Amino acid sequence: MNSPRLDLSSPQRRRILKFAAAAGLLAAIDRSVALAQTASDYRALVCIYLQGGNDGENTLIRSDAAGYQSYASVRTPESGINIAQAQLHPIQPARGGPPFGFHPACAPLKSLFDQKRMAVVANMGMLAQPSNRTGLETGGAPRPANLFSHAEQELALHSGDYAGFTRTGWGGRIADRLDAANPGTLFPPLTSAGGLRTFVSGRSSVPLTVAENPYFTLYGSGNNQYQFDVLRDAALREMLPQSRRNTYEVVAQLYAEEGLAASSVVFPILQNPSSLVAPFFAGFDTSISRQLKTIAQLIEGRGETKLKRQVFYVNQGGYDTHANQAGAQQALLRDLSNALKAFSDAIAAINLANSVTAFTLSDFGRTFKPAANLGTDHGWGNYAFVIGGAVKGGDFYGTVPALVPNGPDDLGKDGRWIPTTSLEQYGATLTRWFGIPEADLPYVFPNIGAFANTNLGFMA
Amino acid sequence: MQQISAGRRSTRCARDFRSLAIAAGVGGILVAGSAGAGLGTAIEYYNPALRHYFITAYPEEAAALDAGTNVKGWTRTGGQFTVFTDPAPGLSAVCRFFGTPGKGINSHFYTADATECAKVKTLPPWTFEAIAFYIPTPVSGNCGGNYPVYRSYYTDNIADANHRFTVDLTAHTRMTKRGDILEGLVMCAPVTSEELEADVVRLLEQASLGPTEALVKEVAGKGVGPWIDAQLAMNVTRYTNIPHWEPPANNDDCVDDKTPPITPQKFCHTNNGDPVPVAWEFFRQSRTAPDQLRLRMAHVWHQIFVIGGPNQTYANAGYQQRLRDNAFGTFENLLLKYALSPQLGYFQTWVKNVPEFNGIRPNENFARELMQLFTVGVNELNDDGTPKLDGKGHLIPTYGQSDIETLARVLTGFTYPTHPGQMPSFWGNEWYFIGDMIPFDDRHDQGAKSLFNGRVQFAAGMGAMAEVRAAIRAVVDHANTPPFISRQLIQKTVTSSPSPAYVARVAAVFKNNGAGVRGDLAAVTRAILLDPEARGARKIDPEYGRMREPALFWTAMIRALDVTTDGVMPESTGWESGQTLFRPATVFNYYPADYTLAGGDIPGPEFGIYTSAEFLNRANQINDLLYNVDQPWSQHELYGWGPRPYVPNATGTPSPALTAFLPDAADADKLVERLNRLLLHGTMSDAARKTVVTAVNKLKLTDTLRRVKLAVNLMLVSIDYQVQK
Repeated sequence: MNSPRLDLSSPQRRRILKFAAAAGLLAAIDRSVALAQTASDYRALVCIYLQGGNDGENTLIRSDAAGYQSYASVRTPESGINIAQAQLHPIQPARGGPPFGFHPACAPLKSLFDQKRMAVVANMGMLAQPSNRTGLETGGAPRPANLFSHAEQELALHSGDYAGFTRTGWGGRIADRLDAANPGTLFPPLTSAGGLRTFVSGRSSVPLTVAENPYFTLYGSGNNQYQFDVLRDAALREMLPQSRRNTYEVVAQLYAEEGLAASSVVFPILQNPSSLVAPFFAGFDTSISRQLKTIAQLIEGRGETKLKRQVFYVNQGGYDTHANQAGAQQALLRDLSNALKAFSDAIAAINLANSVTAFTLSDFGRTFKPAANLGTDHGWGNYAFVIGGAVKGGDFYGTVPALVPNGPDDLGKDGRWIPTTSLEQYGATLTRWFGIPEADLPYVFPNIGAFANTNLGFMA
Repeated sequence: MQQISAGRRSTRCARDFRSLAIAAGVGGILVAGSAGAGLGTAIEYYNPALRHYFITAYPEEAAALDAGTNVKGWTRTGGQFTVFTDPAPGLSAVCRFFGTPGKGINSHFYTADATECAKVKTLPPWTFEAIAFYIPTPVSGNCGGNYPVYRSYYTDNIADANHRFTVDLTAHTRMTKRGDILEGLVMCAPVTSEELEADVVRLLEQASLGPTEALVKEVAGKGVGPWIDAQLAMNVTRYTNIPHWEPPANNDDCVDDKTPPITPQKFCHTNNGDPVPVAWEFFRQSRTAPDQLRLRMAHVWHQIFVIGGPNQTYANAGYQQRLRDNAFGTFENLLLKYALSPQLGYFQTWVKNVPEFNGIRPNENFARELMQLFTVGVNELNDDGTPKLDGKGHLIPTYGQSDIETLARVLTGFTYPTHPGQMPSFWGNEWYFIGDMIPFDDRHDQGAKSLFNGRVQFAAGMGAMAEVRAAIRAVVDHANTPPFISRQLIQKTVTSSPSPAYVARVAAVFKNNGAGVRGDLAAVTRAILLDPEARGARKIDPEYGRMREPALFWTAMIRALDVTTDGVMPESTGWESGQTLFRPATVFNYYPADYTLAGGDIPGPEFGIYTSAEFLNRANQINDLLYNVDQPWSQHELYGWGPRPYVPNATGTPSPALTAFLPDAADADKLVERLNRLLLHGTMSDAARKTVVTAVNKLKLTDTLRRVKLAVNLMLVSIDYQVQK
């Protein structure tokens, strides 16, 4: 699938201009927010991107004697990345099989898992088609382009295109299909607090990007106290919506108008002193906790946006642990676990547990064999996590690879596991729960036809 | 078929140029006899329904088209060039034809060639209208200092054809998208002093940290080429030499102590263990440093040869100085300065990399990125930067996993430089970021190696330094490197979407500077900035320009408005704007090099961090900069615009006095036009101008500073200003 040229007269532009006109550029913003009492049947998907490639094999470790031995014989104490068996937080997948243990920093995730609010999907990754080692090595099965490269694998997982040509994301393509589900509102259905990564770009939808902090507003606007604010607002109202020839200006204008219009809705939500979800994040001040707090507040404030179906994106960076992995991953997983638990608890507190599902993606797993400098290199298949009340949690889905470097699960000799679950299978399970019709799934995941079972069963 | 207007020549048409002086440009041809001739403007229009272009030098015709009186559907493209309205020696008469109704096409044709004119007059499908204007023509294929006028011709269907005449080489090159044949150079348009000045402003946006009125005047007087040459020869501005500093063994001995009284000495971590002081100095120096081109190019290089750690201040100052010092040497030398720096050894985890033992493999981090990001890129490229495709239309990878593993073996055996007074020890040498990393042959993989399907072979036992240098030489010599690097340099200075032809011209200079040297960065920098796609008349191609990145947005304000700052507030705005100077989150820079706009395929790397929030951020930052004086919140000790007590030699970022502009404050038209020339190189639309002038005039005439601030605020916030073009 190739990307279309940017169409300056596109429906996405007209839609944003309509939204801007309706919300009113620089509309007065000091009004109180009615926290949503609007109807049921709200659903939200939250993509949590672990940027850099999280080492899943140190996040979940076999905790039985034989399983731990297969881990520790390769990830030896000398390697510097070994996690001691005694420090693991043990869990037992409901489907049976051997027990596992979470990384020491992940006690909150164990808690979610035990309460059946979290599921684990094993060995998920980008694939062109179901593939085995022989096929990949002889060329019988095509490989995703530029495997093991951060930028290209992020692009692939975000876009759903293993060949590397597509620049829209499957989050954006879901948003493209949400017009019918969100009647009576032009508010962008996809909001990112984690930047403008490919996941959020649609063909006909335009993502809203908000900052991590709650100051999403033009200072002084809509307020008649100072003459220069009044004059500036009036002039901006005239100057902004000009017709332009330069493509870069057109796009900049699009985001400017969207930002101004959305800020009049979003700012009161984020500043709301009566928020029930904000307190769950007190005491955490990390980027991921700030982003998830923003998302939680936007979900809480959905009555203002009138959205019934909403997609969110957040981003936690730093997972590329080539060196000194132990300390780095410890801090990252601690911050992630705390933020995820706070988010999940906050959403439950406003009775939306069954309506909001969060899921992780990461560039790739890491080499099971350690590398010099007390770290690991880029791998492939990885654990992914799904969190929410509608998740059939407390269980594993998919096939856990045997921890045998140079074995049949390895593309090579360093422990880069060939995925046994594809992005499409993982994503379609989530997207279907979210409410996208079956007929639209190939639009969201163009390569879905290569995989037989596209419902992994982890959603109720 | 409609005739647009009866051919009629007008003399001495009214123009709103401030001066009729014809600037011949640097080293240009001064056309004999031209001084007495009247001037006109050939204005370009486009009709999207017909997909046709049209130019006219008749003001009445232009007015009629603008108003849509008789003929509708034509809008200005923004393109125009200066012509002469009267004959004079050295000028060619330009014949204007239109397609004979019933016999010819619905289009006009112009030619400055007397032979061609005579020939076309004999063709029934064409009707001669008039001599439209007079203009110089190329001499030996060259326009000297005048603007080349390029012609392209579209004729997919004999019943529908159209010519385009434009001085914008990018726009001309891209006419192949319509199916045009590019016919090349046909006329030479004289250059007005306004156009010359506008081009100088554009140059300074490409080649400095921001234009100032004084520098614009200096460069316009000197000429662009001579100014660049002078810049290349200038002394290098230095970051303050910060001595080596060891973090204490106990972290608690170096935390920032925020208990009053707050002094810089109590901020051990911030002032020694953090890159921010280097960023402070970058912004501080930006206002007046004379070697602007070098500082701008070092800024470009730090986004390609990325360092995102270690944190020690001295280490960061030392690394950024390396880039400044070596920005105009060879590419290979600059890459070596990067690769062998202990900063990179730390950041890309290749320091103390050793051959495989006990199942632990040498780390592949730098091995991968050396090829992927710093030299050849992931896919094979043509010389013009476009990707090669195989027979099935697939991209062709430049290297494979085995190349990465081989390079990882090459990149073994280096450790930190030795602390003065200590004995060198491979494992014992600890963090020390002065000088290059040092090799230990007995910690280096001495085996024979083969790269790129055997094209590059290293014999066993080469020794660590020799083999690393040879590997760097091999990737620099790869055919991909000139286009891969040249294209990024153009994107970070001139335009995000350069034409392949532009990339090819610069890549050719990268390959060979004319004296057999590969990667001569002075020559490459010159080639980028002097290329006709960087220079010339107003750029009108819709896909030309680049989003201003936050750091340069700030330096441009600092320079244009003469803002004295200690650099602290500009650095801190980088956190909300996505460009945390000298602390990028990953080796992939603050934003992806291959980012495209809104899910399409138009390149726009800086849009990777230009979000809906960023528009608001910039508007708020400008507002706060202009109005912060005397605001209590701005004096907040630790976060405000006033001097911060933990910063040595703090002065804060007080709002600028804007003294230079106050004399024009009472005349809003004059003030706005002056800012239009400095900030927008004259491209402000009439509608925007009217809006700003009206707003300014709502303030009292005597309220000079507030009037200037309002005008500045509106122009810096405008969308036009966000895009550098």
